[in-house]
Amino acid sequence: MRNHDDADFELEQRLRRIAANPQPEAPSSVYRRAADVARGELRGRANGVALVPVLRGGRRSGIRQAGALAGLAAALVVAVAAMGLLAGQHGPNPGSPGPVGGRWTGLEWHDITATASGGSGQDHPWWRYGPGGTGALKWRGGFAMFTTNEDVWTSEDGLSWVRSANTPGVFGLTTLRGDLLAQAEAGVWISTDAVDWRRIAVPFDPHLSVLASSPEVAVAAVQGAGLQPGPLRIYATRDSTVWEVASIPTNMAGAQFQGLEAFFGGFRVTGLVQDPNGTVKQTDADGVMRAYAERTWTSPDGLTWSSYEPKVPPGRSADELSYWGTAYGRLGAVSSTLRSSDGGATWVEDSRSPAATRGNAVVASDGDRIVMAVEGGARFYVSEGDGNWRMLDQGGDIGSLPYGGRPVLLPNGLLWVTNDGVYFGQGLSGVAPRGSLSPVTTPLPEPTVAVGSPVAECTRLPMRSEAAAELVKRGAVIVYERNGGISCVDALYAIYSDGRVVSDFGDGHPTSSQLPANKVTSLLDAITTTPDAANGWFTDGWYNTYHMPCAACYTYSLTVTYKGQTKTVTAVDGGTDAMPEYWIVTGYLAEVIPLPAESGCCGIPFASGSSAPSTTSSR
Amino acid sequence: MALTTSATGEASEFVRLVGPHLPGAYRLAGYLLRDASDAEDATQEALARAWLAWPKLRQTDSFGAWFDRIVANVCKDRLRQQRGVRALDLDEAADAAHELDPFRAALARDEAGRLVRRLPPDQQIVVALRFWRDLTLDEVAERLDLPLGTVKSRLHYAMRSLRRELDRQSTEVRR
Repeated sequence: MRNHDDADFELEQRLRRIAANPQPEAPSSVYRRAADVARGELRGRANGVALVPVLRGGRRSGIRQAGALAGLAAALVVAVAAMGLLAGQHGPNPGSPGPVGGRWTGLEWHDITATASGGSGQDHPWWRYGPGGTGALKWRGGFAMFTTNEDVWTSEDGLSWVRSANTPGVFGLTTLRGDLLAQAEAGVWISTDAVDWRRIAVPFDPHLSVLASSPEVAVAAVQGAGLQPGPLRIYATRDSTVWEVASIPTNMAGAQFQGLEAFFGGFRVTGLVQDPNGTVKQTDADGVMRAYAERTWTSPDGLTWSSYEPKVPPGRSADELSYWGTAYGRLGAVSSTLRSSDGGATWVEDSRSPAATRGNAVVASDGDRIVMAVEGGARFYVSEGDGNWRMLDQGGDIGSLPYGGRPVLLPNGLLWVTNDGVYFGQGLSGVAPRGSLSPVTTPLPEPTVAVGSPVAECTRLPMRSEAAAELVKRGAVIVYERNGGISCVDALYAIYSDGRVVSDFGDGHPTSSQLPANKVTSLLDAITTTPDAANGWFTDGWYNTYHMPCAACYTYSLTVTYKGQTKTVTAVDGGTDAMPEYWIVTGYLAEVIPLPAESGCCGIPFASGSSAPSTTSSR
Repeated sequence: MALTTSATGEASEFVRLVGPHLPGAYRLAGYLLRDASDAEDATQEALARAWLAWPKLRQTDSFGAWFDRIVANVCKDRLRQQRGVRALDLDEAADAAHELDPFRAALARDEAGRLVRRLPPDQQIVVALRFWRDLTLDEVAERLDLPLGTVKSRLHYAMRSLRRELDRQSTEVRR
């Protein structure tokens, strides 16, 4: 019988062999990105646009310079100074993190990157998680959140943040009766002060669970055991010591778990169940494609669960609520364009939502208010969930707010987390914010440049479906659009049966290149017979999917005309909804479509010895 | 349009430093995300993050470790976005469909590779850095900015989970 050392050694060898051969080469786009990122910054500055980031030793606001020069000590001074500025001023007292009375009318921005960086200068990009994704927790010590690199940060006022020193690798955080409850390395831990953490016994594997809490109850959703899939189980506790197993409906236990969230004072679980009419199609292990539908179950106490079947307007689906209508609180939640004022039982169109007209909204809510940022942070709106939205006045001494942040909502203000820094917008009620804010920094003078703009500094352009339809009408057999990403790519390709490839990167100068005509035929054959001839492009197995694209995600549309049939299929990457075969097909196209003409230009050298690929039209 | 020499120099230095690390970063992302397209996107996102944080990096001799850490964090973001969905059987079926994807194909060649994706994201990252990025435990700890003990424990839990599952499967086959 082998001992564990032998078994581990063998397993290590097996794992090493996986990546030993072959070693996939990085595609040319990755190398181009290196030059693009740098070039975009240079181009932006050369055009007089105040772009981020600054170069080493370059321009910073006074606050940021102080932080950079003097490290953590200065950061603390800055934080104290900022608090002093706010003390006794208009608006809610930042020293009181409890719910703020009154309705916000404005945001006064402060650059708190210094404290968010904890002296290392590299932490704030990881401020991507609040519990629930967009809100910081309220606990007995003020506010708390955990971050991508598994730290816990706490703050008493939203302005000055401290990293908890002893946190054991947190990957989930919630509260229970004012204490912090953390899913972490080797267990679930509890702390009353974010300094001393005590491991508690739980009847489940914390790695396989998701935690959420209402103020008095914490709930864990667990599926499977070890590496084995299994039924969904729900546990609830009121004291962190006794975890009771919840009684859940049969179809809930058999569902593929999707998520657990606090919801209207209770909890909500979403999962996928088999349903012939479901819109989620999956190929199961037996090779059969089946339809699944998303189902939701709610509970007021974590122990008793029932199916959640809200009323939604005609033409809308309750599935939409999974993206937006989550923990948006007791006031009445919103989706991007749906809202409820009766605890989530009925949802109505919210035609006044800024998202209805401005699109690309990012939303945060803590149950007291809903804040929506549109146009990358150029405008912020707030609602108390009643369908009324107010645009917030903005001010501050930060110059301008970087484009494309993520909001984290606190009771007394809003964090705007960007790759370049973290900003705290003090919520004001009835008074104007001090200082004027310049327009949000925009990426480039010409928003149609396909690549090369710095991250999160560009505007995602709408899909060009009309132009694509016109190209089909003019005889293109393949029309492929790839839109979005961190540089707001806006690429539209038309491939004709004679091998001509017209590439339009939105710069007003389409370029043409040539493939062998038989290559087009083989491409069409490959696309339309993926994954096989019986389940190819023109069958019902190929369907449109969509989810709200993340900042780095792309939206795709592919129209294929072949043997008398035409069909368009759309998808968004970065999620699990699109059919896997879609990415095989786009992979075929990536092999033949030309690259943007300006890629690899501008004299940005590649490293000596690195394999900078050519930028010729055929990869 | 005039660019300053220093500005051009900064950009050149960034590209010079990052270039040699791109193949490894791409492969790390590929094995973690099990998809070449996702790896491409993740590497590009890491590049953008790195460029934005670049002014704050003081020690360029640790650039590689620093960049790996960014890639790992980008991947962890993405793995956690996928974490809620436990369509395990679905993933396995999709392996066949993704045989053209080099990463998925490589991982599908050995059941151990298939099982890694069932580990929690933090354990997946340690396994990937240790065995697929071929780093020492100290180097893994440096890249993740974690204590060595934490890295060891994560690897221990990961290997234990993998070994148990492989043993279980082996037992079932023998029955």
